[in-house]
Amino acid sequence: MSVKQISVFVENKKGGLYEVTSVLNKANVDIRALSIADTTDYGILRLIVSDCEKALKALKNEGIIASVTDVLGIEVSDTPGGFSEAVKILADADIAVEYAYAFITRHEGAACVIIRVEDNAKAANILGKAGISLIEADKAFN
Amino acid sequence: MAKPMGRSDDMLIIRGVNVFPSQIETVLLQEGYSPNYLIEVDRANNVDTLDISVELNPDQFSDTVKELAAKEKALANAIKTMLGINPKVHLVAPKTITRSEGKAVRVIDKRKLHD
Repeated sequence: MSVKQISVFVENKKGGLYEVTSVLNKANVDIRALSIADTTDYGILRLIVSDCEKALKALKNEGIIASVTDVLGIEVSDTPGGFSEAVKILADADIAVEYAYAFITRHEGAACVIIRVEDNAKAANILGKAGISLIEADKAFN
Repeated sequence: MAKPMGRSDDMLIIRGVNVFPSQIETVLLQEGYSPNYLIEVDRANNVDTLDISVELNPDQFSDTVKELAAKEKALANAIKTMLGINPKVHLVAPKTITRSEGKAVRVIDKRKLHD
């Protein structure tokens, strides 16, 4: 039901982001999607990768702070209003979205939106009932 | 007599308040942070500023800015309770604060008080 996301603590300094990406490169992990939340002192890099376990292990070995978060991946149509429809369902059900980021999938006409909510099961249930398809685990990205 | 707070030659006077680096260390340990920290004291618009860089503990990491900011604020409040002055807390990655051989350099005082 949910998708595994790797969240990484990145300090605001030159080369901070490269430190993380070079570790993933060496571990031969492919990045499917990413987003960065930035503050004055640090950033939180959120990644969907080809191999979550391998990425986490490689980052931890290098002493980089990282954790795995369960997020929801929803498939929306790549047309105007596609995402809006899904967001409306969540808003109507009083579910707050902490953050979200999107990417275009390899499937024709479909876009994927990663959303982070407090209660994945509840949100998944409501979206499912409304006929929005959720992306299964990491398979959909390969 | 009150419990000794540290060596008097380590003492800083910030905004007229006596501050011992060991007090900050005590708070960090209480709040579950590593005792590696860097205190930077400066002066902006004739007011002393206190910036404390603290290494984030991997267990305390969160994927949301909201939660990390709350942790930063909780630590700043705990330090304020201990010292009586408001610090600015900066979370940094583990093992990025320089470990020095022998006596650690924990304080950088950039104030130019005797110009």
